[in-house]
Amino acid sequence: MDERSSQESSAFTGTDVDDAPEPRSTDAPDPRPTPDGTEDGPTRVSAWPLVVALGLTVSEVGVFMGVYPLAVGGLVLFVASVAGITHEAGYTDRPWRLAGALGVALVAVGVWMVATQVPLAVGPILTAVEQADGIVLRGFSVVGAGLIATVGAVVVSAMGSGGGTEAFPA
Amino acid sequence: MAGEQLALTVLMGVLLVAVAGFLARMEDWRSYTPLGGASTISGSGYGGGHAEKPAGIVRWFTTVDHKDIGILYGIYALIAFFWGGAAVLLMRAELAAPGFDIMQAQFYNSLLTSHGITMLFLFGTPIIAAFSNYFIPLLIGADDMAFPRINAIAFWLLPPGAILIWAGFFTAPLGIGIDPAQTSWTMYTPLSAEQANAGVDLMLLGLHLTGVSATMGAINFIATIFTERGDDVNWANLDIFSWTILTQSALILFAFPLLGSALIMLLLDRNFATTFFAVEGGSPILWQHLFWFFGHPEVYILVLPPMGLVSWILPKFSGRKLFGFKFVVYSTLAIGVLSFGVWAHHMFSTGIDPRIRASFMAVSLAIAIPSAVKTFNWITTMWNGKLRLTAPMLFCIGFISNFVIGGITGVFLAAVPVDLILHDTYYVVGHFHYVVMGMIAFAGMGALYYWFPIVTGRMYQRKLAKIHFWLSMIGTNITFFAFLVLGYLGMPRRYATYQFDGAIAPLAQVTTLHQISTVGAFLIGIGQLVWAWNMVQSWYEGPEVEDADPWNLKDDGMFGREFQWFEAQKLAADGGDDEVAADGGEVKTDGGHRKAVRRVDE
Ligand code: HEM
Ligand SMILES: [Cu+2]
Repeated sequence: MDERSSQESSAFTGTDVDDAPEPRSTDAPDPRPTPDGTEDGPTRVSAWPLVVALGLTVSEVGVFMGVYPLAVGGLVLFVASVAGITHEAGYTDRPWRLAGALGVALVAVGVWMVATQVPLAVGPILTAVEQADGIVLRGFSVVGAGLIATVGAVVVSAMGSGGGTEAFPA
Repeated sequence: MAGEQLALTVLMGVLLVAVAGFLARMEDWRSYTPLGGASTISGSGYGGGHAEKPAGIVRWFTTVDHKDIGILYGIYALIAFFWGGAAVLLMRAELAAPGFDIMQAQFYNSLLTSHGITMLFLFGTPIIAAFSNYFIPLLIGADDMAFPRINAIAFWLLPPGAILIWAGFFTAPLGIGIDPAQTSWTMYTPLSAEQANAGVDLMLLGLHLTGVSATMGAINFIATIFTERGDDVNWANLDIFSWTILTQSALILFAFPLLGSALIMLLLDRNFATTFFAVEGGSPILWQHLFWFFGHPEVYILVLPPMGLVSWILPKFSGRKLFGFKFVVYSTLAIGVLSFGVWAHHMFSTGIDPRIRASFMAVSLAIAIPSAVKTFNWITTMWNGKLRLTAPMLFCIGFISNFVIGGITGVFLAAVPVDLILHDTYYVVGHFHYVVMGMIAFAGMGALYYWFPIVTGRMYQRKLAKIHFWLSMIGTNITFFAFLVLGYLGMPRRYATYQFDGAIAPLAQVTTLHQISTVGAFLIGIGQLVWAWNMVQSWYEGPEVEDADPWNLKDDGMFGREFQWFEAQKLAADGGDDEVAADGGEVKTDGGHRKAVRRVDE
């Protein structure tokens, strides 16, 4: 074993987890900032990626194929998981705020979808709903998901202790 | 409608409850995952990190470790490889004789579509991602990918994508009117726009998701290679595999969003009466332009990283450095740039302006130059070298040999007059299978064998590996050379049966060639079964690798960074606790009871 690898081996001793130098930066063991740029550094586990992917899939299929329960559920799941993962990665300290903002964005998108089809007035919208116009109903499902997300975010944040840094309650 | 919706709502409720339950359990392992403090985490990487990972299946669902994700990509890709392979063996059986009728033509078309899309998007791209996720951070001295969570998201988009792409096969037996798509992988309009079958929509959505996944992965690799390199890794000594992944990622970044947009336009045409690709709208030819502006770069997205793998592995068993390293890098970049300028060579016969056709022909022929640079550099690397014919080396040499045939047949197709005759015949299919099977799959297999000791901590069975190689090599050449000849005889592609007027081609010969190629395909299939057995058996029972240099690379000064990392791991394990988890999950005791390998020399 040569000089360098013996140096490396100390870096890899799995037991002293507290202040081992950066693995594999053989020539310069000084620690670099962690990839996320947060003090948390790269954690090796997270439950969110799977949920983000699931949320995106379910909402895409739901909205596109016009299966409203899937559209609403998928979008809510997507919004919640995006807020959760962003929070976990340390980009925001309050997940509910981002969740609420995304919810508002969804409401806006949904309203726009409806507005492209019918004038935004009670009468025409009701007729459109009765005729089960595909795009209008899809727009409503997006609005619905946005409302649920926004309301949910507000309720959840009100229930929280206000500390701000606790994990996003799913 | 109300009843259906109610059922779906209940279904969704169950889904959400399941997710909530899953997340609630997350709190359990969170408590022993050092999410909190910076100090505990710095060591949770390669050395002792396994102790912090949750056990069992939960680990695989929650990991953001690039090595675990690499393994997940690999397993996923190989499942897809077997799905695509099973589909094509059925197709080859159907083609074994002209009157053979083991399936409906519609089912043949479904298999054809599934085979092409599965092999390209669910096997080809992910198997490359498997290697790049696992090894790029090791090769460039990074801790992990730049965005580990995005890395995990990119992977988790794939399984739902595959389910959607294959959905028609699962729903057809239910009789709810959702059948597998029959569009072929090119999804040419108007056929793809007019087939009223929700299975096509599901497939397009699934493809869209895999595109999102590939784009996320590409951004991550670009960020990682630019910002996470170790201090001693610069552009001049960046390894060749990382260079090809960097180029590939750039191609993905430009090509896949375009595919995504075109897919959405097609979905809108199908479901919302837009007319992007309708005759009275944008025209069906617009689809071909958009599709191939993505599609041609896609073939280089698929083949550049395997070229990088061969450029990395071949020198190890030639006992010499890669000849002309710089020029191999330049040729990679040149191919990357040129690949966006040739898309219309897929459309020579669509009646585009002959002057435009000629310029696309010129650029297409030009790509042969950087490709030849690579080939000559590989050959020169081996020239007078100390060749060791290990399984990874055999696959590399097979790769080059197949590339010579695959590449030269491509040059012929790039010439307009030749293409006008051979277009849409089996010649084309033979050409690109020399590339996709003979190169992409071969390089993937070679790399699997080369890195098997690092990933599993064990050695595979060398004899089985050689059987696998020879069955694959002979099978591939029998199958696809027969395709080339069939093409010359005028056998059109994408047909479930064949019947020739004697004045066009002798049916007897066409039949014989089809039978030869069916036999070849089954040889390949048997080879892959041997391989699958070898992988699984060796993963669990293979002799443990004791020496961190199983390939004896130190002697030639070819001990790469990934093996240096492996060595450091092993040393840490020897000096530290009595447990090491060198493989993807099993924690096994050191000082094994089984016969251990020190070196592999042949
Ligand atoms: C055992 C190995 C394989 C055999 C025997 C095989 C055979 C075939 C056959 C018979 C076709 C149909 C040709 C036609 O009717 O036009 C086909 C199409 C195709 N194959 Fe393979 N193939 C193999 C492996 C692969 C691999 C590894 C890939 C990609 C990585 C691949 C990609 C494709 C594509 C893209 C098509 C075109 C599908 C279409 O036109 O829609 N194949 N293959
Ligand atoms: Cu092309």
